[in-house]
Amino acid sequence: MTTSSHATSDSNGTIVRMQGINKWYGAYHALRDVDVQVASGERIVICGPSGSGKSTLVRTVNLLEPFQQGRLRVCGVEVDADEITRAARLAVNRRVGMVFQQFNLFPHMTVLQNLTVGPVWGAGVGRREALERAHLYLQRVGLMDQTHKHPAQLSGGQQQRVAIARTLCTRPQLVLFDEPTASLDPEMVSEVLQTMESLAGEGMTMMIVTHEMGFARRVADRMIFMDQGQIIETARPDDFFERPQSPRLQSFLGQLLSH
Amino acid sequence: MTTHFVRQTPIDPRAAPVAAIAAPVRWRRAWFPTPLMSLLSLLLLALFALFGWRFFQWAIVQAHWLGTSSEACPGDTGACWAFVIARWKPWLVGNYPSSQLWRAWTCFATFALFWTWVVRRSHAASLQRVLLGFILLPVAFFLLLIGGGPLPVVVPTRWGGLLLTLVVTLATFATALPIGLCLALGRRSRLPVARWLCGVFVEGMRSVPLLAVLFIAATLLPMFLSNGMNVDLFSRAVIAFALFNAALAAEVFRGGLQSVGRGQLEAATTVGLSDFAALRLIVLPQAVTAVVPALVNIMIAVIKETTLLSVIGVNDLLGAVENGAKSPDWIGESNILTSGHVFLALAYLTVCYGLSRYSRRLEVRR
Amino acid sequence: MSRAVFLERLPGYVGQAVLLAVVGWLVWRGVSNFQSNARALGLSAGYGFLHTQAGFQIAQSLIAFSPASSYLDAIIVAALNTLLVVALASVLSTLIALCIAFGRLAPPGIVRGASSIYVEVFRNIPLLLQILFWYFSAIALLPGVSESLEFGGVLLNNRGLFFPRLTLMHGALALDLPHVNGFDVGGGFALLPELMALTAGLSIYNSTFLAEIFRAGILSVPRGQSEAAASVGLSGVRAALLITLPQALRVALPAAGGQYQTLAKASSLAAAIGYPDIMQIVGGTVASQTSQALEAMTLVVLLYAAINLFIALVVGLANRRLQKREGR
Repeated sequence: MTTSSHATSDSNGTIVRMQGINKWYGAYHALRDVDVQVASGERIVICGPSGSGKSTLVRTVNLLEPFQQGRLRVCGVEVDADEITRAARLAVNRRVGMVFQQFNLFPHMTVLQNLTVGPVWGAGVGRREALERAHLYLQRVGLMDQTHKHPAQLSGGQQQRVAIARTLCTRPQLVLFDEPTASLDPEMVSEVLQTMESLAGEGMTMMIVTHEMGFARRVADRMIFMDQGQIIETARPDDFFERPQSPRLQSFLGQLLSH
Repeated sequence: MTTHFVRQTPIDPRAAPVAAIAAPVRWRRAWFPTPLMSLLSLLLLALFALFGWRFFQWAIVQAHWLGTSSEACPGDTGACWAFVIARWKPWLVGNYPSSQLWRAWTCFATFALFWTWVVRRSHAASLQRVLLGFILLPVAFFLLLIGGGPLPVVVPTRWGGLLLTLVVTLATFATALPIGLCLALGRRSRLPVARWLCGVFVEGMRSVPLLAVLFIAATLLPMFLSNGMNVDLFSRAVIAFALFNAALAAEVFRGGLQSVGRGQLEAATTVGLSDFAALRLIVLPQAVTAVVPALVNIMIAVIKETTLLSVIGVNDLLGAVENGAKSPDWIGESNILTSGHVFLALAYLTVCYGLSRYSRRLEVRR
Repeated sequence: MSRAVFLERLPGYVGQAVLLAVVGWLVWRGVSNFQSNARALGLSAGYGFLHTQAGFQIAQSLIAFSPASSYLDAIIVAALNTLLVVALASVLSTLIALCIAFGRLAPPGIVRGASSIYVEVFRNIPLLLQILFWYFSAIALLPGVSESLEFGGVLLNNRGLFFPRLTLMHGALALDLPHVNGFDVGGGFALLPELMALTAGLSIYNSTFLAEIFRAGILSVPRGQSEAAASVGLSGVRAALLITLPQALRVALPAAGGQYQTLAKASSLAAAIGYPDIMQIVGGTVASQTSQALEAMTLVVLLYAAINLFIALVVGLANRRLQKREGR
């Protein structure tokens, strides 16, 4: 398998193609025969019980987790199961962004610096353009007056919105969200979800791991339900929530709706 | 276009695949992952080979093994192990009279047995018993080695070498720990006088070099004693060591005491324990258990510090080697002293490394 | 205060009074013993000797010094020599420690193994032994005066490392080059072999502890930080310099400051090989020549305490600036 670092999406607009992906943590079979295709502009929401492999799945897309078997193609970059080269990792991370559950903002930098460090030092974008992008996306997430604050001075919801702006500044083709509201106080969850909804409205390709089902129903083009490392059911939101066919999804939805 | 997919048969877990990469490729990736690492690795290997070969030549091939004076090691090449071997008695026991050597061997053997018992962690070796042993042993050794009564007296100035190092280390450890604990408790006391006195002592001791304290003990301390009292150099050195390391131990214990959460003390109060009982039964056991690895590190530091005794004229292991190289039998070539240094380096390395492995094992066990 | 509370606190008050009384009595006895012993030996007291002639030469001095200079000058020269070796050893050990720390964080292999061996070997051999080894091997290996190594204006032989010195001669700045003068070296500014041995020993010994401190600092940065750095397109060296190291520094700084203080105190081992630092000159030569050991050792203690305090202040300042940078 070779890696190409200049291609973007395939000619038929597929951003992510995972075929037969299998991953083991030591002896534990964490991802089993996973097949996923994500087209440009699609919004995928992945849900399931804890330990089902949802986070592992999206972390495999941007190469934070290696896999042992299968084929992976992200934004035109073919990735080898055996050895993930530094070139592949760089190529993928310059096209794919991630929003983490723990925000992971850089505590020793201001909000503005958090947003510009990736474009300036990673992608070689000029300082002026990086600043323009930073101001643009800060405005989009509604935090224009926080440019010179440090992350420690912001609330959880504000930090996560800064994290979203930080990802957008790198102009990704795909944004991965790994349980973005799970660490937030309830009153801040909605402000972050609103930001994500407006992002979806602009046509950004997104893969989202979340428990927020109301949000998922509004935003998703396709729902994926995972359990024990494998994809159990995939459907459009209406079918997913109203006509679940696999017994495990039925019991999962039943538990969700009961409280 | 999204199709509705439903998995009919679940996928059972499978065994992880054995890496199908050829052995040479795996070997290359493991040992030479990036160009920079490869370059550094080769450089280091070359350096190791070069120095290893030169050392091997010096220490084994060209070395002189037998002899009783500097004539056994002519010239400047090759180690003089004859020096090390011939003077085994001063290394081990210094000037201790030959007829009474059984007392020194008893001390060594007892300590070896005790240490084996501690390290094996048999059920009987609870923390209290071990600490008690560490306090009783030096007292017993001291009494046995000094003599008096039915045993002929052997003054500490005749002790030397490894025996002296062992006794000083144990005596320091045995005195510094209790004093350090008292100092740490004193710094947490509500009584301002106690807090202030302990604080001044600990901070003062920590801001001066050990060698300065030893110098003061060696030269100044006699002036503060009344005319009748005559404390010999050895005892003064041990006192200096004890007080200095007590300050270090105080800091270690302070960390341990702080690590016992407030909730523990609150719970102790609510079950009706007095302050003192809570301290003795709840706080201290947890605090001391938490800092055992740090205490072992203090012991390692004390072993290394005993080398400073040679600077003020006490005949410890390093001093014995230095004196040996200056004795009329052996004075001369520089490689004699160097051989002694290399031997000492290996000896200290073995002991201290062993202890640090033990300390790390204790930390992991937690 | 009610009667009951007072009775409860009484043992505390009594205890403190007793403690003060005991300590006070010990101090009083010690002082009176000292005074009577000093009188019996005919020793003088006080610091008057500071302005009298020293009467001895110091092999290395950063300012002009001769036997005609006063004891106070001698003490200043000694303090400067200590600061010199502490500064040199601090810089050198920091550089070595950074390399070793990164070596220990490398993937398992020869580099990591070599770094670990370095740390274990040089941490467990006593510092004094290492210094003595450097002193005796370094001297043995360097060539004699007549076969001095020379590069630039610099001479290297077993009497030391000699640099050219800027001096005022006949009202103009001139370069005083070192030159071989029979069995000695004249002119220039001498770095003694004692200084070289002391610096080598101190640097290597302390670099092992500093390497562990730096490594712990780097490991303390949460994994999410490097993942976030990767996700915005930063990698490898850039991510390390911009994201990981600044945060690692904040954690490592207090512990590193303590290690530099230890280094400053350990420099006192100069007395074992005769390097003219505070311990050797003030605690040794001055104390024995004036027979005023109390005053001399007091000066020694105060000087080292001052150096430690200075290091603590610098580290505290740096720490505060780093914390401000994170908006705390």
